[in-house]
Amino acid sequence: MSAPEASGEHVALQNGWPQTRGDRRWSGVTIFGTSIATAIATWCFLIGGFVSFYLTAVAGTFAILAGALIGMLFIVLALLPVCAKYGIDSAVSTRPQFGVRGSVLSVVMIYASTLGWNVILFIFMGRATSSIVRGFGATPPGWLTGAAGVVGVLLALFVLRKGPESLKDFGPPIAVLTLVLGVAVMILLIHKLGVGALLDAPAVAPTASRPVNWASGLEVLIASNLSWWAYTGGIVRNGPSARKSMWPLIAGLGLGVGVGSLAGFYAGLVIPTSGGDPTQFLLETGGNAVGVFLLVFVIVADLGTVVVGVYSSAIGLRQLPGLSKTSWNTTTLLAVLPAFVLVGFFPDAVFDRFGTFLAFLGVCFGPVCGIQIADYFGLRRQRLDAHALYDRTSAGAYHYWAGVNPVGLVAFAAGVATYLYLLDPVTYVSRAPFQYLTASIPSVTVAGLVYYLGARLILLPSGRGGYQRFLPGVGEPAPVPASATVPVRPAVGEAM
Amino acid sequence: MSAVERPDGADAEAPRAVLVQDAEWEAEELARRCRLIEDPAVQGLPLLTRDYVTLLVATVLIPVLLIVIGNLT
Repeated sequence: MSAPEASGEHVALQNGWPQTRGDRRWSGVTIFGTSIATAIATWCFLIGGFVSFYLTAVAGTFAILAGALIGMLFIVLALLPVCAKYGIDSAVSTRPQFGVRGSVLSVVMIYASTLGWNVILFIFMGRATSSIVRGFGATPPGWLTGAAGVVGVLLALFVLRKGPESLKDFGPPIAVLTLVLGVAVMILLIHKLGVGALLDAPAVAPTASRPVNWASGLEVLIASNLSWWAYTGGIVRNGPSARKSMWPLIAGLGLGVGVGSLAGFYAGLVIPTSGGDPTQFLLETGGNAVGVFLLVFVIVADLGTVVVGVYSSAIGLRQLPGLSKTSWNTTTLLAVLPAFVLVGFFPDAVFDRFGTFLAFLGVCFGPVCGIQIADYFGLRRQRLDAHALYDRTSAGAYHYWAGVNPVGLVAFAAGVATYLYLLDPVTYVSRAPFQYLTASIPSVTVAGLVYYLGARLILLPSGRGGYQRFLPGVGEPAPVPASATVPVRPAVGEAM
Repeated sequence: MSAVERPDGADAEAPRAVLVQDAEWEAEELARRCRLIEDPAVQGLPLLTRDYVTLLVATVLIPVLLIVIGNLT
């Protein structure tokens, strides 16, 4: 490979430009390793702990695995075909649906979700550090959780300082560590408390309705896995084949969270006050030596995940106008900047709002998945105009009106409204038919349907969106897209 | 594949001042990549019909079975 080629690949990787099949270096094993390192982190304990509010051990185990798999259906359909085909990331893949400027919405969502997950993990690292200090017989000062979390932020920046390629070597060993951690915690719980105690443990705070409890358990996992939308494009664009990426993705992200959540779920049942948080029970159940050892595992596993999270967040930020020209290290710093404040000064307040954060994920990413699936499979015949993805001129196929596709925004709003009608993200109070359909599944479906109808009724007749290329009866497919003949000439300083 | 040569052989990691020359190089590289990626020969390999079928089995059929079995217990 020549130097200029290496430069082109490097810039393409960092800016979310198309990667050709030859550019992509990640094998299925690497994708699995990165996926599972992304998925299995201590947030799994909290996710599982949340399910323990509603379901007992056997029912909850089935619900967790089922919810994890259902969530992956939407993620795989929305992102894998398009991101693997064109070598683009999640944010760029929404430009056909939201417009080249409207897709800022997805960048903001990626930033908010990855920041939220990262902040949770940084705080976890801080809480684990405080527990380790307790394990050595000392009393940790109140500020230690925040300070140790901030050190975690700095460590993540240090690991990423050489660019995204560092992820390739970082993922698999972290994946092994995190898997070992989950298994060790489960063995510890079963050894100390017994299978009988687990099977007999009631749900912590169930509702009076069994279907609502089931739907709540499923919803927690579906919403959690929908948040992989932010990470998935950045992962699969590095693999040369969608086929070779699909199972590593489902097993790594989907089942990874499912299986990883079981430890937190069981812990939440047998130690109801813990909420599944291992930093609150490892010392007590494992003793100081084992507890401290596992808490170090928690910190290392979290570090692996936040590195991927900060990477995804940084790639997303580079799509914003004005940020595509900043250096990689400046971008990663911007990606974690709010974490310094939230982790350093408000760790407990942020940590206590984890349930609301989970619901926010379902609210945001479900509708986006529905819109993308309807558009890519129902309207575009699985083909995009690659030039138009980066063409901000009014001639671009994805320019719509001033760079924004109102149909996409209305469909997104319809999906959000559907979710909010079915499930209150703050109180977790639900409305029918939540108990039969959950909130995310109807949200995905409504958003997709509204987009499909809006595109048929508004976009196609107006000739906007580049649909004429693909739909029979709308116009003959043009052999070469109009924008392909127009050089992509972004203004200096403008995001591409 | 032939790449667009970067002016001055500058490295991507180096600080990139907002120079017209640099912007032109990036615009050309992006345009080249967009042209290339329209060619199925350099696109990522797609999912086949049987992949979609197995996806539906894994993410719809199996979850439904898990829910049914879980409710029976």
